[in-house]
Amino acid sequence: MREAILIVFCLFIASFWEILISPVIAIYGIEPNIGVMLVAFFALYRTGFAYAFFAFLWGLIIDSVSPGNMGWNSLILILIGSAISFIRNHFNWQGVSTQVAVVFLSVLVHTSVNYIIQNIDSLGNFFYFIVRFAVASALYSGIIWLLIQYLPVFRYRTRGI
Amino acid sequence: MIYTVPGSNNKKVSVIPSVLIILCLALIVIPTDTKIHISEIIIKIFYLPPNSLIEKFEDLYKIREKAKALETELVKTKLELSHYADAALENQRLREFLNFKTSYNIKLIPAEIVEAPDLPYYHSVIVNVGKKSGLRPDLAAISTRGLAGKVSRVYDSSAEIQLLLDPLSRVSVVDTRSRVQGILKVQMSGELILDNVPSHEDVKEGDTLKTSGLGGVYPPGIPAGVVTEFEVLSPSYLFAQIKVQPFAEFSRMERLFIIDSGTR
Repeated sequence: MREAILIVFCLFIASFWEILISPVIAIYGIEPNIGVMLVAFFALYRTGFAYAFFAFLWGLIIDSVSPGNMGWNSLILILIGSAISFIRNHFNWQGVSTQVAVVFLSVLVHTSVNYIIQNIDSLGNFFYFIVRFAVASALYSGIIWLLIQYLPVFRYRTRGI
Repeated sequence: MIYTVPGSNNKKVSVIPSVLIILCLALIVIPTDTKIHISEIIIKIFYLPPNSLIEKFEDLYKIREKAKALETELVKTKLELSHYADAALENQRLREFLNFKTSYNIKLIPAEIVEAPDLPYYHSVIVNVGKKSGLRPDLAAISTRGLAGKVSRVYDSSAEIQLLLDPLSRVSVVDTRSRVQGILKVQMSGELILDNVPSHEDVKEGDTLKTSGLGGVYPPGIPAGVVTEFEVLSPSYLFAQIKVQPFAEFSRMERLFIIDSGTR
């Protein structure tokens, strides 16, 4: 129940973030990927099923803007969450640099795959997109994750696990 | 080294992502109409609240901007109204003076009061016109309400006006009703009195006093004040005690008009 409430809360927070905050903090159109960051949070810090539910629902929310691709984002996010969960179970993930690398790669993969799905018919600008948006967005998300790590609440939780 | 987290090896946990992945695949293949229907529901739940919040903030911002603009407009309008009110008063005063000028055929020199020294037993003001404007000593100075004093000293661009309240001021006036004449001056107490009026003379409270023209300083007919008290202190007293309220409001004066009748 507690996880469910947290998931719904995070969904609303992410929605508000995407609509209200992201446009404000965007740098030359580059925005941090709050959805992937939250999936990473659930996969790293919460119990096993929470990330999957969050990834599924957040994917639906993103896809509701372009209903033709409905299901794809959920699928990508669940797979990313599963990968992060695997890292959590098999590697030392508690280091800040590891977490930042996880977030960076997750955002990079999510943005890239999402682009491929949406532009499957014309992938001529794919590499430009990767360099211009996907890497930049992944870096931005990684930096934000790094900054969040220094918040006292996260430091406490990291030590506690 | 393998790090295990409590609950992460639970079979139930690993089943849930698999079920959700199957659900995702199902969503991918369902008809577009159903997808659109689902997306409409999601948009209503997750996109409309923040959007309506944005709209509310935008409305609030617009309202605030509008309120600011209206406030500015209000202040501007108030200033304009004040200006119009001043202009209306000015118009009224000028009309009064125009009538006055027509009646007496005199030249009026407008003068702004630039300094009003607040000294005991010395009641005068400085105005911003002087010799260059044609001022000479002993010209009468009037306010919009009545006689104020006379020019006592003249400089190039300024002049000193001795007010009626000055202890050295003397004005020959006449009661407009009974034509009784007297000297308007200030007592040591600071009150304006009509002096040199015999006790038996017909002077009553409420009588208007105007300059008589005697002495040649003040042109005749300028309203000077109104009798507020007529008292004969004793039958043996030769003169009555007559208190006068001047028409001019000395504490509120902003400008004066110097009367140049051209006789001197």
